[in-house]
Amino acid sequence: MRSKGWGGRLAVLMVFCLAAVACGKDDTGGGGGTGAASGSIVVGTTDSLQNSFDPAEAYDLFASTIDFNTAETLVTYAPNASEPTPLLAAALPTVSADGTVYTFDLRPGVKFHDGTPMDSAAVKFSLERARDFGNKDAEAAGFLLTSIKSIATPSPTKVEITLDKPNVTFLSRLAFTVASIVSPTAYKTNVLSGTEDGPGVLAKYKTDTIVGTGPYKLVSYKEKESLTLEANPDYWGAAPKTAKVLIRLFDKSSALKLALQNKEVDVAYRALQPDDLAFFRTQSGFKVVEGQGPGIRYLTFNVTKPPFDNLNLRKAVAAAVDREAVTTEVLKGTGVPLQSMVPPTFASSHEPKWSELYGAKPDKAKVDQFLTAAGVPEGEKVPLDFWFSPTHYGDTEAAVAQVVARSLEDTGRFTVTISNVEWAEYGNKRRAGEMPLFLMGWYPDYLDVDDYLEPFADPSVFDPAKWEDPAMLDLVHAQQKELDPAARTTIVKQAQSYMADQAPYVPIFQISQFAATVDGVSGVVLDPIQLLRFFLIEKS
Amino acid sequence: MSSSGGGSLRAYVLARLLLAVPMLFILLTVTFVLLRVAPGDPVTATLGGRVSEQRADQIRHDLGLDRPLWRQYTSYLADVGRGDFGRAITTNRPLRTTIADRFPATLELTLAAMVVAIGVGVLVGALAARFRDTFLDVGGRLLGIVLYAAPIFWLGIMLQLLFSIQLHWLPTGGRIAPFHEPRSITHLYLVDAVLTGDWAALGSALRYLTLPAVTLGMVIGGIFIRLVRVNMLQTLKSDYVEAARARGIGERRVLFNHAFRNALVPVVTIVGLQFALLLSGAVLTEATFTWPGIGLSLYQFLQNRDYTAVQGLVTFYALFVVGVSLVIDVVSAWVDPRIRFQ
Repeated sequence: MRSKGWGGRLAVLMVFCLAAVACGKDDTGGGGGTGAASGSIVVGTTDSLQNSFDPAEAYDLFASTIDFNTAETLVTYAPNASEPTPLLAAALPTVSADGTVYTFDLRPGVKFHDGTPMDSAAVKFSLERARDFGNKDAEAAGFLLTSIKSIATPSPTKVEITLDKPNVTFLSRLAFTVASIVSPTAYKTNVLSGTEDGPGVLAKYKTDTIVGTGPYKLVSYKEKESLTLEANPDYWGAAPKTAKVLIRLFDKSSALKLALQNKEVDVAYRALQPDDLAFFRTQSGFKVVEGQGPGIRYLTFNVTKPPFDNLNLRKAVAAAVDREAVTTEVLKGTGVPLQSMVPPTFASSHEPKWSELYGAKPDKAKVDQFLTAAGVPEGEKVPLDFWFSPTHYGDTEAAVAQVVARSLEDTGRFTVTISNVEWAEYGNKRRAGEMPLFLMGWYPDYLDVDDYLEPFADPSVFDPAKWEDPAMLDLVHAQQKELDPAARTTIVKQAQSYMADQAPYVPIFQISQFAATVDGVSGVVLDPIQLLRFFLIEKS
Repeated sequence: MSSSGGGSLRAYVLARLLLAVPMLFILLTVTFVLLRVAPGDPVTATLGGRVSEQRADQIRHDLGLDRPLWRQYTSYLADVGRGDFGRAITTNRPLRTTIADRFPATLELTLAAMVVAIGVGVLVGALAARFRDTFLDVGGRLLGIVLYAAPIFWLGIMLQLLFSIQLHWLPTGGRIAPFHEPRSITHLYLVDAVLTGDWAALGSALRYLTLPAVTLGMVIGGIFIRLVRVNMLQTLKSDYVEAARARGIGERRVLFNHAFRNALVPVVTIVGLQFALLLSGAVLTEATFTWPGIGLSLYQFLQNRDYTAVQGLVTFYALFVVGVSLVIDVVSAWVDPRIRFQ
């Protein structure tokens, strides 16, 4: 009897569990859909929060993407646009003749997620707060706004921003999420009191929340696991296409691939491997969305030390690199060969100069010519010490390094020793100038050509080649101040030509953007701002 | 008798508690030392290249890593005593929060895996013993060895490929379907779903739990298969089983009412011992199935070289295993008085 009783109970429990699983299958549809309720999508990514969702601090793509969908800036980039358009501003600003005062009229009737009104006081609060963070802690994104000298609020719907000097990139900077307008009420305790200074400010004010005016509200964040966004019911603009968005965070692209393959996520973005993209292109039930990316990859010389303080040796390497081999063999079409540090995304990109100097493809005759000019005897091979970091730029990095090294050796004039070191140590070695030739990558902070010139010419900004050339810096500063677009384009092209002549860097490829989705998902826009607009995505 | 027995149990518990103190001390010291002997300092390893040297110094100061080693050690012991496991460099969050958020998921997975392990072990082990030297026995023994030897991540990936990618029966990873979380009471989704009557959440949680629990449980189950088989064989040869058979009791009744129960006694003890193995296996299982438990956190912190976070989580793991071992020892002594007299 006793045995039967237990057996019976066990049977009942098993039947109950099976029923529950079956019930769950109907709801979650592991095999046939994401299982989300109507009006929801699931986005999978291998990105993760690096620091904080606070726009004043957020300086990574993931946090910026969340900010972009939950908070808004005065101006923004419409999909695939290259110039900013108004968002919380009612129109583009009027700019004073000397280029230092920007006057904005604000869109009326906009409210923050906490119900408080968005007005000129909120704009002043948000921009000054971000600037102050940038002034106090170099790691905070607010450093992009440190040119703001003062902000006046003549009326609740009018704002006057005065810069310390003219800077034509200011509107582009205002379109970056660092300039998001946030609720002064929600952030009143998250303001620098004036006594804090230096490093540590960022950590002290770190937040996992964002209270803006955007189409979505951030309703939950589970560290390294997931985020949930819900449509803002009081949004002033067009309602988002989907009511709920779950963003699942994965550690490995292989796990992300499996989840998409099993349709547990609707969109996989940043970052599937090139092989995975090729796989989903051929699978029914999936599609791959492509877009131009603003990220670039390049070779860097340490120009301060032998052997690459020798200009002609740098030029010989520049003439030997086979970009096409990298993009076809390694990237399988997920990158485009690049011949200027300013990518063709921008109208003022100037690639012809590079081809003219070094050839569009590896040119052995030019290599020989530059090596002779560098003082290398004919037929002698030059040993090169070449470095890369194996994981920071993704799983393909070792293959990129090998193909670059092979193309150099294929000229018959170089022997290449490849070394690698993890990213933390890579940074130390770079700063210490211990790597003569190494691979690097760049993603712009704001969408302007200036962000591809100044960081590579001014060691106080970035400049991994340690290249300090007054002539180049003059060109950089001149284009920053030039208000006339045509005249500025001329200067920008001159700067690119000069950089190509001096070859402190060798551009290799422009990184394309890819997302893979299940069939029926639309509205995935991948454009140079690099931030996925969740509010445009919907699933039929 | 009862007074004497109770007294010896108290003495046994007291002795176990006293023994736990040096054990804890050694564990904490080893954990502390391991972090310090790792090459480079934790801040450079974690954030090097991404923050300025000034900022790195500030973080070192905030974490107390610029203090003399003995002071770091005493602070560490004092913090652990207060239940403070430190703060992760990469997330700048107290690890106590991470543990509170993620430990329920690990506990749920571990307990489910234990159920799978016992189920597989007892069933296959008993069958192998009952049908000794038959195809079933050979198959069962082979299965036990293969399961025990199989790397968890390999087994997990194979199950994912079969049940998720090929058959589309179960999800590849995660803990519950999007937007299906039950109202949180215990943070154990199965329990919360039952308590709140959320059957959709229960079904979803079971579906997501199945593959990780089976993967982890199978590996431990391999040990149980062999253990149950051997115990069962010994029991089947014992005098009282022979006597039962001689009295004409049916073979099924002999097996289940006489042999089986006695054969399970050592298994109960082993279950406790395997708990630590389950927790360590959970790290790999959680990483394979993106199961958001404390093992996945440990894996993520290791990936990011956040050694202070690793130290905190390993400390927690160590304390938990010591605590569980202690409880199991006491329960075993309470159930089986012979243990306390050994």
